[in-house]
Amino acid sequence: MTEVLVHLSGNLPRSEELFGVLRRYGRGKATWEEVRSVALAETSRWVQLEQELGFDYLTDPMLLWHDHFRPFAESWSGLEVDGLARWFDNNLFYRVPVFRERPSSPGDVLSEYVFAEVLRGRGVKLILPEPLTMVMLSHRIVQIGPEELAVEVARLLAEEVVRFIEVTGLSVELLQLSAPYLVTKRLSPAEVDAVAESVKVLKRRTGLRVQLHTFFYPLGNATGWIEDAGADVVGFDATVTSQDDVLNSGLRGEVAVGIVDSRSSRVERPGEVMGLLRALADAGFNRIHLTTTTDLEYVPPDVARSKLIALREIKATFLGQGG
Amino acid sequence: MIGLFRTQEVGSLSRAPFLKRPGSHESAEMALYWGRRLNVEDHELLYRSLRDGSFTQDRLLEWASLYGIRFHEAAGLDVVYDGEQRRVEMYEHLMLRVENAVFLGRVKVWDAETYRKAAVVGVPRLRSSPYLDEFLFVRSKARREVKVPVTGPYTLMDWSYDEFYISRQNRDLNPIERRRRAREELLHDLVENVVRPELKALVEAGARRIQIDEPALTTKPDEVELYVQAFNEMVEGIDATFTLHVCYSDYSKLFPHIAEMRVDEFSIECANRDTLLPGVSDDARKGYSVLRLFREHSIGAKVAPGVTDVHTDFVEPPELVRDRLLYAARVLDDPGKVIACHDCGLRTRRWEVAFEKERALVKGAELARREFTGR
Repeated sequence: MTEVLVHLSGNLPRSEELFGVLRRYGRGKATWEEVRSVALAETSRWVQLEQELGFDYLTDPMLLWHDHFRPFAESWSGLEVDGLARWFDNNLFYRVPVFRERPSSPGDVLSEYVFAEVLRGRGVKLILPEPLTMVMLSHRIVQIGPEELAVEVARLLAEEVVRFIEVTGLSVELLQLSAPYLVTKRLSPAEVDAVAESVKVLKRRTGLRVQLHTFFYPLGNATGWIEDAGADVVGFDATVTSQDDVLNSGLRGEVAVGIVDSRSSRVERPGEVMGLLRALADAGFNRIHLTTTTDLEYVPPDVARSKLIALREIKATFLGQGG
Repeated sequence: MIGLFRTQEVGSLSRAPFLKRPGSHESAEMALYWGRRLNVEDHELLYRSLRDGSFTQDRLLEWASLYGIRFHEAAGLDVVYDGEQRRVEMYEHLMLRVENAVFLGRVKVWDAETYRKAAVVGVPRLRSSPYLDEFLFVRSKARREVKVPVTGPYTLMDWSYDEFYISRQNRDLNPIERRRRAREELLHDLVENVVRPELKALVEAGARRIQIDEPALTTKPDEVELYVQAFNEMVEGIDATFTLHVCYSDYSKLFPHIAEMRVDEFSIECANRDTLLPGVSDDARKGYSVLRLFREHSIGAKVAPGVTDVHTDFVEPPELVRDRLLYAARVLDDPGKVIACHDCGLRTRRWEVAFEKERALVKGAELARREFTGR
């Protein structure tokens, strides 16, 4: 019998009201408290929906995060933010972090950006950038190689997680590392080592299970090494990865299937994805995480809501067919 | 007859200053101030209507269009338009007039910036013309040559959701192949049913210069080749001078494919990546290094490298504009292939700053011209 879990693998979209107050804040016409107040109310509604739908882990919708790196790029010493760059092949842009010096963390960044007060009553999943992905999408002025810097970032992220749990007392059960860079091409051996070392550092320091979550590009670009990177769960984007690629990937046991396309407004029907899930179960995956391909900020809130419901329906259909 | 280093705009200006709170004392004063400064005919009529409240929204947009035209003319540009004063946003303006495009809501572009995104739910067809009335008005008022900006089919596709074409593909196909086929079909239909009919209508109405705006073109580099084919089909048999504007992109992704493109001019953003140092050395003009690719690939089209940065209030000295143009001429080995324009539309700048930048563009082009013609 295959165990099936459902949770999100990225953020949720902001409402027009939140975009509005953020713009006013940027022009000096709203306070940060006003921004937080609107974001908190929206976070509560999203988390309540996650609970109602029976998601196995609760995730913060990350409404205060302008991009994957910003909370750290703006808060850590030794880093700055630069101009805009395209986020992979999307009409979405992030501000490029600049590593000027060896980075260090002044304190508890996550508590500022994650609304811990509403993430109660169920296990929590935290979502962070995968360290090598962050480094490779940044500018480096500091004279440290990217692989070494990635491991340094992993250490800082691990400290952030530990402090966050200490401060909030949350029951964090899964740590996702969002890792699109890892499947953009075949990585060098040094990069592969850096990924594995980063996972090891994060697991050892936090004691948490780690989901290495890839998206936008086929998992096939990482076969041959990703199964040995030390992650407890490897996630892939089912909208760009063929069934054969997954079955031949060397992955076994536990996998996160990005089955709901975060970048499409079309809401998935359970029947469309049963073939892949059935094949994974037949291949011996005994724990399947049903999830979004990535952030849901690519779609408006109403569409995102429908996609969350679709996740639950896909699980129900799969289990109804015998798992 | 326009000589070397023709000057032209790229598209948008911010909304005319009197459109902010129309009917207020401030809006009337703005209409008066800019009317005088740009020498807009009969601007006192606008001033009075804003003072006594007799204006209508349609008339205000017409005035804004006229002020936009005179803005560029007063700055001294050779080729002008109206600053896209009637358009809400380049994507939305067109997609609102497309059958089977359904707007779903706002999505993030960066930070708190958003745009309204539509889903294509069937074969897209143009329901009404997005640009024709606007063009006819501009043509009737402009005292200089006119260039119409048109949002291109690739950007329409890439900025939309596809709920229709992907559903038609065989589910047994590899997911990447399924998506590739869907996008190829969607792009084809946007060309045939949306943009090409509009281009034909514009040319029949007298348009001679048309700019196709494709800010999304290099988003998915493996689709550039597909786009070149689509572009050539789009302009086939249409008698006009076509400019392709692509901004804030990795231009290396365009090569070698654009060598096959039936386009007359490329408009690209360079000033934003350049230094403010004077001179024509490679180090000073590093923002223009991409021009080497145009030469290496023997691109026959002219190039309009942006010589003013639209994302800063810094007004480029004319000498800096000159140096950028001279450097471009040297790299392309032909001053006749260089057009002087901004990096992109000036929508993000206040009119005061935009006007000074445009004056600097014109003066810089004059200085560059003197290097070759002595006048």
